[in-house]
Amino acid sequence: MTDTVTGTTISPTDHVDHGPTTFLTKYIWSQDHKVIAIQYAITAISVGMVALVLSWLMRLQLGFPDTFDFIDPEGYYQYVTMHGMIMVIYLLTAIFLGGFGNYLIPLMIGARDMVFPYLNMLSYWFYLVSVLVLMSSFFVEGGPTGAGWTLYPPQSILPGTPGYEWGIILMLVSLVIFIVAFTMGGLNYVTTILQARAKGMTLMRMPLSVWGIFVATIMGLLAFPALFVGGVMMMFDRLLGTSFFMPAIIAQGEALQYNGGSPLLFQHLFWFFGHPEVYIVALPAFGIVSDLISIHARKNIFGYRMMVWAIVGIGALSFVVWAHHMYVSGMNPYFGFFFAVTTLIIAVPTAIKVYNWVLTLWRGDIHLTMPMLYSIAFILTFVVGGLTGLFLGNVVIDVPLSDTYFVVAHFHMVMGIAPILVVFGAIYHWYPKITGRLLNVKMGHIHFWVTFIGTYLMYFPMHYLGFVGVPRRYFAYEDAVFIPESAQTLNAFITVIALIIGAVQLLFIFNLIWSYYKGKEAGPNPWNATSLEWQTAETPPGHGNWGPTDPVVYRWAYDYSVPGVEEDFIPQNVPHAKGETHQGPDDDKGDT
Amino acid sequence: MSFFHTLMSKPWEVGSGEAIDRGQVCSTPSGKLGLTAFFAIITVLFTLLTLGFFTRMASEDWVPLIEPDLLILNTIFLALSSMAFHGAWIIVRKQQAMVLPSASSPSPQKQIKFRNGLMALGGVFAVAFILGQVLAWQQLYNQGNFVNTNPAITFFYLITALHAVHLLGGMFAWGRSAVKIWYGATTDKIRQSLELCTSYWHFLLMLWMLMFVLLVLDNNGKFDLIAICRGILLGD
Repeated sequence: MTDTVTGTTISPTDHVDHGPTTFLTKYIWSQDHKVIAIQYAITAISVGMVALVLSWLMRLQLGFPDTFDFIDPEGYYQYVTMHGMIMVIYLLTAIFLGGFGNYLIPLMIGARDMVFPYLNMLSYWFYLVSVLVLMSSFFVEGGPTGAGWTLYPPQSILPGTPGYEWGIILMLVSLVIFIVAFTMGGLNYVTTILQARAKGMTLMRMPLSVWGIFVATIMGLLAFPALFVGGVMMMFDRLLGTSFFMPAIIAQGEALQYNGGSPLLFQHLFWFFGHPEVYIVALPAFGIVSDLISIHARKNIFGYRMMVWAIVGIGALSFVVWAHHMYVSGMNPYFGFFFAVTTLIIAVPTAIKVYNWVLTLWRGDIHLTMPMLYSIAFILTFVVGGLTGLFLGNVVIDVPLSDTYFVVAHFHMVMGIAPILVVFGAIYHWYPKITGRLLNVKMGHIHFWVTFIGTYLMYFPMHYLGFVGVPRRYFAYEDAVFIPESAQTLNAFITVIALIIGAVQLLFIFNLIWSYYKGKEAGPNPWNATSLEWQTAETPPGHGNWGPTDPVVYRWAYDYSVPGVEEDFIPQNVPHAKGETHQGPDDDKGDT
Repeated sequence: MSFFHTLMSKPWEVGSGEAIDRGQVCSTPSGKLGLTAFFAIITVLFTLLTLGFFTRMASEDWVPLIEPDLLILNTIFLALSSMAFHGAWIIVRKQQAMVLPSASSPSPQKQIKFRNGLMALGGVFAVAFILGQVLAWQQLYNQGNFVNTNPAITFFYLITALHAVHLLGGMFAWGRSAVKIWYGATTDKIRQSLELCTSYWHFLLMLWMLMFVLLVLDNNGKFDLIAICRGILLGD
């Protein structure tokens, strides 16, 4: 047997003997991709809970202004900034790529681990350090930065902005460390997918989850350097008094040392990273949800090749749309036109994906399991968020709506709620493989319905707030005569809903812990799924994943309800039977 | 099978990919492929810095910096470092290619000594390059060219620092190989790290030369690449 990782020939028994034996090497300084994945996920969820509490504080102020003495304007801006940055980078990016990427890539492609396990371990520890540095900003003089998650200069590094003293520095240092961590992890994911697949696992036999993670990782590797450059330059401006982004400024009657810098340059760098970042989060979600829908509808994914092409196409296009975040920053109208066109073109591959998900469900044997409920919720939410994106992609519509709650509603639906619904669906789906037990369904239903309905109650009204011109990022609107009374009533309503949704997430966390001890035994393949991770010798999979024998792949990951086959699924590692007919998009699975 | 051909295959058909796929897109070892991907990331990083350089250069407060002559010597150091690694790599390749050593070829022990010497020399020249860069900083500092004096100087410090950080990362890998050799590792054991070090050094040399050209482009107070090319080619 040839180990694809090292290229050396090893005996079958070698694999089973290599597992770490001490607690420290098994669970702390572990190089096992599964343990690293869980470390990533636990850290991401923990820091996500901090961001959730920050959103509660924000909503308390907006819903009930002048009520809570402990929320001041500085604090409010700090909550907004930290909530945004944590959710986008430290929760969603980390959990999709560091969490699911680490867990699923080797298992789904039939590898024993990542190709660079040591680098993989370092990746997690750098990520943890970046989180700790970020969290430490809550405890330093001046608190965390309140510059907004986009950290636009010059305001972000001027005295008077909350967190000027230390917060902004710690934020930038934390981001730089995060990018180093991501690069180490990302190189691993890409190389593993390209070079360490099981025999027979062609690229086009890979499950779409892997495709989504693969393309998102490549995007991350190419996009994060822009944030890195922007972050380092801003650190120079803040600490060394240089003027990369800082123009000549007179503050409180005195001219500051800055001169000639370009704030717009930072915006370009930030959004050259920032827009692909949306898809770095979205593509893994697209991939995962494709698998969840196919498995729980017992039907092959509709248009597999088109789904792959769409993932690749969206990934490429997302690098040429960044300036649609800058329509109000001032730009040549022809640029605006160009970026509006590219933005709208992205809707084409995205719409293909939505159609294919719906067509996979069409006449499928839909099982309304928790993962399926979350998948359907994702499709609906993503469509709603995506449609408002078409509004904002047009310059003439974006200009009046920019900086209003319409934008807040849009991006929360499309890149906040939609991906997080997939995270929940994915956790319900793969938890049995990770722990050997099923999550409690009753708690799951409460969690799902409150979260799903709640998010609509929360964000639909925000569109209205945006239409009537309620600006975002404001601490209070006391003297704004153009804001009707109904807006305040809605704000109070949204706050109550937000608190309820937040509380029900605690039930989800409780479910994760409770089910680990008391959940129903799952068995190796509770969903009757075809992909390789469900075919491991042990559940949870042991060190090296596959026991003594490497898996060999004979088919794609979507052989569900194949005509003439008794079982409604055929695992990827089952050879074709004599006379087996092809399973293709032309087949009508609805009748079986 | 090309990547685009792969994307066209129909995985649901019986027999697609039936000639069992090896699970690898190419025969390149994982380490080399990972390093190539890392080159792409560094390229993006320095491309963005270059774009920032040009953007900022257009502003009125840009005062061209006359770079210290020492940089030429530093460049030679880095080139020598790169050549030393390449020499060591050629020896390793020859060692592997040789099934039976001929009478004229040097003894394996001698070859190993030569290889180790070249690797050590590679490291020494790399250290000389970094020290030279620090010395160039020192010269600028003594002339009153501080990091915040002018954007051209800021870019000089930033670009040279980031390049040096990448070289220091390479030095870490070189150090690991050196330790392995110290403890008597066989050629097979250090083969890959030497190959990767060599590629990395070549890449950083190329990158430095491009950055060097970028940094001196503004020395006439304007970006006139054609004039510079004419100067090089025609001696105008």
